[in-house]
Amino acid sequence: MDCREAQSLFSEHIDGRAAERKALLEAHLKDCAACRDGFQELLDAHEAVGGAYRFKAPAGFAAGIMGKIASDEQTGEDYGQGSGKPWHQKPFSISANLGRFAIIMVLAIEIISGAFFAGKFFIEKDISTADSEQIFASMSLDYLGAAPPESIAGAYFDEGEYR
Amino acid sequence: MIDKNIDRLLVERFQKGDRSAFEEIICRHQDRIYNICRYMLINPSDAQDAAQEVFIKLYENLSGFSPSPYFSSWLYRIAFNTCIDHKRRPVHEYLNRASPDGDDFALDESSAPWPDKSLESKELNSAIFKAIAGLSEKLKTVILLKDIEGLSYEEIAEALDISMGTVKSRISRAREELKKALKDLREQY
Repeated sequence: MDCREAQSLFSEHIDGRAAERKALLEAHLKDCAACRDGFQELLDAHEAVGGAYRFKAPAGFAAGIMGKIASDEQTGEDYGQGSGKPWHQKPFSISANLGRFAIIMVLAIEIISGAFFAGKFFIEKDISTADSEQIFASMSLDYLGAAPPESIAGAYFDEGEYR
Repeated sequence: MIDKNIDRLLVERFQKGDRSAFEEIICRHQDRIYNICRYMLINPSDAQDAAQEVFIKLYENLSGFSPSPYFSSWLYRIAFNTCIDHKRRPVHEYLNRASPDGDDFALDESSAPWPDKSLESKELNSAIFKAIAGLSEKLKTVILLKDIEGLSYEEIAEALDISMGTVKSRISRAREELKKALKDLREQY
């Protein structure tokens, strides 16, 4: 067994899990001072960690949780599913949510009908037809007729390129 | 070690509707769970919040738990998941908290296991806490379960839902890192 293989077994050896390779490892540790030191350091650290401080839950911890659970149950917070206990979740009911459904349906109808009528005006109408020419003509400035040349506006248009 | 039969009986009592059994379950496990949360989150008030959350989750899910010898592994898994969730919470929730270098590493003297020992011993314990708390999450979880809680490799694999090979290699890496950290520390003193 070489040093690398020995080192890979240190941790398992501490836990008594090196099994069939234990004898080989122990023989290597006997012969190799560097591995022996390394193993001893690991063992020391392991013991130090094993003796690490254990924190304790604060006083009244369990009572605090039981109190919180009781108050959550009183205010109707749901716990768990399907065990048949009274505090467990109620099945979803359509009748209890009728108002919400009505609002959603009205909004949906408005959106669909809006899209439908918009389509009537801008998609179904062919812009090359006479109807649409009338629509576009009504948007033209020509519809207002020419400004009389003696008017201020007329004089202005005479000078410029607007006429 | 945890007596698994007692846990099984308590779970059965709870499932039959005896709520006092749940309080007994908390009392049996609260110190272990709080200790895990403290090492995972460092800050005492975070640890207390998380430990409380663990038992509330347990309460919510215990009625559906099928009798198994792995009750405590399951509880540890809830604890680690809760701590990891806690760490992922938005930073603003932690703004009023002390930094990890502050008093968080100070140990509670009133319940210290070394009442008549020297200051050096307290400092050593605080340093060990710091070294463990400084490990990466993956290494910290295995070392807490193995060397602090005394679980077997099989129980750790069950609790963390990882393979035995991964358990072995993580324990080995964690111990090497702790050896290094504690060696550096010894050189300081």
